Amino acid sequence: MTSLQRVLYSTLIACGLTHSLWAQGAPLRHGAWVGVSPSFGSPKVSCDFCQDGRETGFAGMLDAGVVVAKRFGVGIEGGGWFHNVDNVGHRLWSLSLAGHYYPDPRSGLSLKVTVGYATYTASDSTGSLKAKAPALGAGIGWETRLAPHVLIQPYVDFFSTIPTTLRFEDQVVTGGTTVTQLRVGMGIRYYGGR
Amino acid sequence: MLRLVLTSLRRPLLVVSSWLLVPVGLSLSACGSDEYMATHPSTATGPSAAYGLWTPGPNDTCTKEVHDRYSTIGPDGKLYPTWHPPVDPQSGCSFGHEHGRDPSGSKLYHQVGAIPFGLANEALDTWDPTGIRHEDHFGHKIEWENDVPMRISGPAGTVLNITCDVLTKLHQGTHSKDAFTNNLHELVYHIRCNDGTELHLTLLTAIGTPGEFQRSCDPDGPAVVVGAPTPANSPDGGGRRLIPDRVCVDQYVLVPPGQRSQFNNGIHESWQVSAGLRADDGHGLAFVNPYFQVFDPSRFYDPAATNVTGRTIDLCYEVESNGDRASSSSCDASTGNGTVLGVTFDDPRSVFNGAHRVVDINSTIISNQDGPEVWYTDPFGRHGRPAPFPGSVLQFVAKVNTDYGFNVSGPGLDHDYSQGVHAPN
Repeated sequence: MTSLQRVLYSTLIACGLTHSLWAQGAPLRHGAWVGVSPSFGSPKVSCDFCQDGRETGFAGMLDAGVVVAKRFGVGIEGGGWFHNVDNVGHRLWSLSLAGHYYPDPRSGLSLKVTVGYATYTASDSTGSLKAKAPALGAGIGWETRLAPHVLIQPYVDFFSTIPTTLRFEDQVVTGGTTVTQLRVGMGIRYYGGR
Repeated sequence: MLRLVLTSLRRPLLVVSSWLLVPVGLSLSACGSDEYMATHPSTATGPSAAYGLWTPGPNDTCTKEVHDRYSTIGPDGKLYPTWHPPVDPQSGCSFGHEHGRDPSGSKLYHQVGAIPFGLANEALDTWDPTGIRHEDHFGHKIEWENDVPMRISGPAGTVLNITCDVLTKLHQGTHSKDAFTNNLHELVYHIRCNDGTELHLTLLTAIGTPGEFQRSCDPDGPAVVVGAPTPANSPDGGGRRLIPDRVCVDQYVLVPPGQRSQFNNGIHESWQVSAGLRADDGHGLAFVNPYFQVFDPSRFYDPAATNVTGRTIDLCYEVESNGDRASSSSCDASTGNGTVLGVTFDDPRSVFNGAHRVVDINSTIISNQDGPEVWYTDPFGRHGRPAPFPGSVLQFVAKVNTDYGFNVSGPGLDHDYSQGVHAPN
């Protein structure tokens, strides 16, 4: 099964699960929230002589925020992705500010845009290959109430860094490198508002 | 496409009439994104020292005139020999020797054109008239490959994908005593990779220490000291020449009855180049370290032999007093399973012709981020300056830094050019 297939299957499973829970009620978004979301991430490092293809691995995200209006929320989220290939550990960390938009407060649909910073490393005992840069992203999810203060949200999001420098230790390898990540996950959020 | 001619590069052509002052190198133009393009004069001013050296032997059917048609004009205006097939396709006659792979198939050929054999040697005549180093015709061996995937060490190997086009020529004579003492050999090295690496290098590379070589069956052992090199002032170089000698023969080739000879261990050469370009201020601009291996060469070092040159084919007939002798498919093939006596080293039936070779690309490192791309060096690749000088050779080094901190290394290019070939080759 390819990486992309794994991501797509994960999405389908998440959507199916959400659909079965939908009957439990529309979301209630009030006040502040904290959340955690296990996911699969599929990053790609792109440069003039980077390999094609994506590597899929386990990812996770922690987020917190507050609903500031019926249709708007703001938050902060930190993500991590992990994958090992041939004794080389690949890691992708991101920290972003997120703006959430709920087109219909009675619906579970949730859109977001993010602005943050991402760091990609591939490392072994010989050193680390690294790219780090500001990143812009967007995502879509569907929140469903699981309990009075608990919502779950399957989501798909994507971010890309701006072009940056790929370095091995401190040595420049190439410029114009971007790191992108496609991520599919299932978030669980606790809303503290009444 | 906008085609620019770098005005500074015209100078070699403008002073061609004053040949003693001509910097020998490839004229060059930049096409579009500064693509290296070698251009040569259209009319020859005279022959180079390397031109016209070959004459047919008893086993060759081509005339000298047919052979000398395979020539090219060097950037200094002189006529040089260049690559030709072992058999002339027009007349069908045979030259009996080969120069490796037809360079016209290389993706770099449209940039570099026909490779003049002996260009750096010719430049040395001007740079140091007291240290002349001319090489024979047989030894010029071309190898190339397109889209060579490079091996990348460490974590970068899981992220990066570097491929290169490589076209190289080394003068690697393995039929005579020349390399027993002489460490100066002409190297032409063209490489272009998708990471921005681009290097077009022509120089006399000093391979190891002059006057001696390393025993191929004991490469880290003591050197085999032979005698005075040519020229006498040959510089010491990096790398080493691994050449078989009688010790290797006794150890791996002449074996007790019932055992098989190990020709690949006993009679195998590996010339391990460590060459580079250096600016006048000592800054290293580029470095390459290809290894040039030869299997089944026609010679080995034997201080007891005529011209200290033992002939590999003779080992197929030799029986030591203790009964040790050669036992191998190579000997069987050369002697009709022992039924044909008296096969000599230059007999086409001998498979010991030095035509099976492997070129290990290994590493190319460029440290020239601030440029310029065009450098003129002395024939040894040193004293690089942006402007030509008497006896200089033009080199092209891309404005990049590829000293990444991890190893990028090319594989071996393995080809056997034995068809229609015999020693000396």
